[in-house]
Amino acid sequence: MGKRESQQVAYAVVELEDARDELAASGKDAAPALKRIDDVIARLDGVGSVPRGLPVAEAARYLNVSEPTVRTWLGRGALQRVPGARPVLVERESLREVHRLLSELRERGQDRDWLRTFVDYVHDLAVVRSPEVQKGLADVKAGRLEPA
Amino acid sequence: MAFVVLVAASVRRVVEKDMTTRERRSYDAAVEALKGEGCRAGGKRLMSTDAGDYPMCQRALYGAWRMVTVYRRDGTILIVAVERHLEESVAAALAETFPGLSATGRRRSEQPPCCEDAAAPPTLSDELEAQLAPLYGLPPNPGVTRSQGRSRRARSAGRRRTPRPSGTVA
Repeated sequence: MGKRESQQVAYAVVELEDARDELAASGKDAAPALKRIDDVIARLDGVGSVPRGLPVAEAARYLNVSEPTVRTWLGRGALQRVPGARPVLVERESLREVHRLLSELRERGQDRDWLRTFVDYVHDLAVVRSPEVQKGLADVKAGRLEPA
Repeated sequence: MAFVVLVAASVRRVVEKDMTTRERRSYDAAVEALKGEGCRAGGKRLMSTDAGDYPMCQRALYGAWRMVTVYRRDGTILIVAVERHLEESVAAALAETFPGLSATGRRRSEQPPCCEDAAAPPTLSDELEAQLAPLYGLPPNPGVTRSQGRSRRARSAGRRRTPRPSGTVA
């Protein structure tokens, strides 16, 4: 199997795992189907040439974000690299975790009021957690205050 | 009524070293407004749980500068930070998270004023905040380590809380 084909199989495995989770969350008694899917995933994982992650470009397509954003998220630890992989591969489980989070945010974001408030909230968190504010709060705790 | 306004030592250094004359003038004007008007001059109230017991507010100063204040129950006002806001990366990540949607915040007139009584401040779970932080480049919550966030996430697998940034959300 060529490199391109093996990447396509890796992408299909990620989608298969997503479908498995959806089925498991549906509340239906799908134990036999889930077991079959798990078996298939295990067999595919057993094929030596199927990578444990997706290349950055494929990860970006899967998450519907740009490649620089995927690289940024790798740098910040939101996504994990497959150790030792060259070129970089994004580890499947971290990719699916971020995908689930983004799907949830995007679904809620259809409500414009919610989205606006969420955007404010993220900006406010960035302020409150900024190093300058944390330094100032540390000064307050330590009593390092002066009249303005 | 005159309010007592105190400034953190780290703020004093920033004001004296990093601000131009014009920026310093806007800072001085904001301080005078706080002394005279109290929280009414504080700008908008920040949504977060990190401020501990005190409400935390942000007021825009000249240019990209902003002032962050907290309010003690005894009426004392503390200026905890004066800094430049550099949130382009946050905005860019938000725009990518919501493709096709305008990821902008509320209009200034819709934002909570500093004096508003936020008896029930909106919160996100620690686990969700831990997940959002690396996506939007937020500094980590000083009260929650990343490993704590991960272990909480693992424990709560299957019962993810949906973000509730405000009471307007069902």
